[in-house]
Amino acid sequence: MKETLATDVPADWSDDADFKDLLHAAFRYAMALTHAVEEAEDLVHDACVAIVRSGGSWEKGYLLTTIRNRFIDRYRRNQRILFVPIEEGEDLPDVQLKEQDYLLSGALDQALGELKAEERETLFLAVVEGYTAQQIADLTSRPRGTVLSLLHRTKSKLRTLLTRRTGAEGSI
Amino acid sequence: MKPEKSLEEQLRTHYESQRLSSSVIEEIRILRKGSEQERRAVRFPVRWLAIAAIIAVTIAGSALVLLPRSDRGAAEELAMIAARDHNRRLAVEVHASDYDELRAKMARLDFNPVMPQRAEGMSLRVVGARYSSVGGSPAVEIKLIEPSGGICTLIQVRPDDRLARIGSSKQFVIDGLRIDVWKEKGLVMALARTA
Repeated sequence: MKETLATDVPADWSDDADFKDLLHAAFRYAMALTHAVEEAEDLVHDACVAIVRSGGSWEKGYLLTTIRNRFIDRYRRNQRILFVPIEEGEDLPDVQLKEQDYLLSGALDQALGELKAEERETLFLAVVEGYTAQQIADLTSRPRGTVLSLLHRTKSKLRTLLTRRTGAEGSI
Repeated sequence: MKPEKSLEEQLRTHYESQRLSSSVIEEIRILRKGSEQERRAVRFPVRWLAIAAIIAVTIAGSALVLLPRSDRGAAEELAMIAARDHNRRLAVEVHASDYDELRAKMARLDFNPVMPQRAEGMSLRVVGARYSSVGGSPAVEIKLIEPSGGICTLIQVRPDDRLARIGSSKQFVIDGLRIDVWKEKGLVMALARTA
């Protein structure tokens, strides 16, 4: 397993509230991968079992890496196509999304369901977790340029999916 | 005019509203707590282990045990899983009317589901089952119907080192459910019913 990210989290999980926050963050990442509540819960649970058995660290980066590895193993066993090859792209500027009210959580959830796992994962890590492109590259074992390209394409794709669902007009 | 939210803000709101269920959090918390207790036991100096052994031997019939016990932790963890699976109400993957049919249809298990002796006399009717897991070990979640029409959930799993420590049968009440955990016929079982 690649070296995990060093994130700014406490090493001592004697604080139960902090431990619960860690688990919620892990669950959100698992949801980004699977887009399915039960699968995400199973992934988090299995990853935690693995950490307990190996005596591994409860540091956030290590937990997310463990979840990702379990996700890949699970889908390999089921022989599903999971992560498709992504062409490396040159560094692209981040797309500035238009200010538009997409307060249709159902439409957003459905649109996210239409994305591939790696697309949701990259979007989640960048937008929700605030990871840099390099941090995402380290976690997903991809070149930084590929991550930037994927992020750019995913945002465009999500925007298109939402526009179709909401019928929103105007320049995007 | 209310400022519109960007797509990034909507994404953050969408994901940050998602939280792991309290039952799974509790399972993991118990799992972690149990492993920490085991590590503390291993780190005891040898002389203290000798003293503890002497005391345990000399105090006959005493319930005092100086080493941390983990069988209740393992049983409680399994009870939490049974409560979670019962409340999820997931559809069965295999329909069956008895344990023979279950065994024939569930080929991916590394054990044969059996009718528990504890269930004899309860007139529980098998409806079906689905594959499950307990701590990474393959398990079966069997759905049963009581004569009153109530649904029961029976988890059966081949015990790993941790579950093998479950000694006497135990009973828990979790989320309005009564859960019995016991060992029988080489398997660890948990039966969840409405309390």
